[in-house]
Amino acid sequence: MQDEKIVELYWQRDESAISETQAKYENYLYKIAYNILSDKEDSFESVNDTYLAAWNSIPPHRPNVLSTYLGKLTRRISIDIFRKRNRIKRQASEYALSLNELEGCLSDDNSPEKDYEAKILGEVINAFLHTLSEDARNAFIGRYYFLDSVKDVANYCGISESKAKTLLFRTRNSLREYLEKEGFTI
Amino acid sequence: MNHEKILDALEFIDDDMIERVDVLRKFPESHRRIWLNYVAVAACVMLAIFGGFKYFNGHFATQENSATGDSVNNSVNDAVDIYGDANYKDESSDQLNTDNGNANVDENKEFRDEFAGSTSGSVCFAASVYMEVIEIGDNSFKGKVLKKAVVGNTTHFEENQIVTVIYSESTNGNLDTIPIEDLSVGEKVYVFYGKIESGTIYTPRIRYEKF
Repeated sequence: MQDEKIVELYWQRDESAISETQAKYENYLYKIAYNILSDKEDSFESVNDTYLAAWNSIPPHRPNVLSTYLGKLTRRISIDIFRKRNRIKRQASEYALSLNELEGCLSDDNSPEKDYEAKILGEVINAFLHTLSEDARNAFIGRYYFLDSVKDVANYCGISESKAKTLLFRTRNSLREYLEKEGFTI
Repeated sequence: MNHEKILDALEFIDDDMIERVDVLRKFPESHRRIWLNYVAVAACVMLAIFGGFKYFNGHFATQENSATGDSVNNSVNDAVDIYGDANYKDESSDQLNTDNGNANVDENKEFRDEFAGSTSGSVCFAASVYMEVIEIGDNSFKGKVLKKAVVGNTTHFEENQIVTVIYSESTNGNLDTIPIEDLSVGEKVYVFYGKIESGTIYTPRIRYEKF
């Protein structure tokens, strides 16, 4: 089914929208989730949460490219699951537990301030990415947005693995300089 | 700044950049296909340039050098037209005595009878990189090289135009197409002339007498 029709089903509050989304994008979303979580169960949980998030956010959203929209949701949910899981692991020690308790003194993970800050930073990074060559930009997004392995990135960018590593290393250095110039401290 | 914030902030980059990488992830070969497209376009451009060059070169060469389709005489005795030998030309004309491309020379009949198998079908004219397959008709003529003058141009022949192809007798009786450069004065040659579909071939420039 075409993306527009699936989005339309969401707008009509037709529950078949979820099954259509699942049929078309489950593998794609699972790959994104698994890149972050490296765990089958957690990845499926993340993908299922994505369907729910899509159901809750469409409407009011009407994504132009459904795959990108769903990918963003999965990425965000997977990162949240990853952080939550690491917090639980840290609770094994008293030190980690105390850190976890202190974390409550800081702003909440999903606070509007944090979102705003991320958005500002996102705009700066966006501008930075436009200054890069296509290869460097694709490699950077592949590695740090989709969180693909360097080997995979090298493969679909059509470059050698060593070149991809060099490219990413230089891009990271350039990003650090760019962010410092823009007033961000690393 | 927490480095995790960079990962979070990447969520806000332009969708089109993400989509571009997304396409690469789905179709890793698309990266290579883009380059293939460039190569294909470059090849087409080169072909067009080469074709244009070849066409104009052939076009001007035709105007300057080639035989016309009006008469076999003009085709066979092109060199005579250029280098001038009225008597020889007349003699050749008598030999050929053509009418609409059909030679009425006795030797022709003799020759056709003798080499009937050799004169049919398609042969390659060995001359240059512009070698083309040409269709050889029944008409043929044999003679002896008086003088040769090699013209290095190629000639574009129109469809159904009459052309000449030279065979040498020197290779142990086996007839073979030969470049005009390899002919020697006094050598016995067989000249075929016939119609071709189209193409560009080397224009032989040769004077010869009947033998």
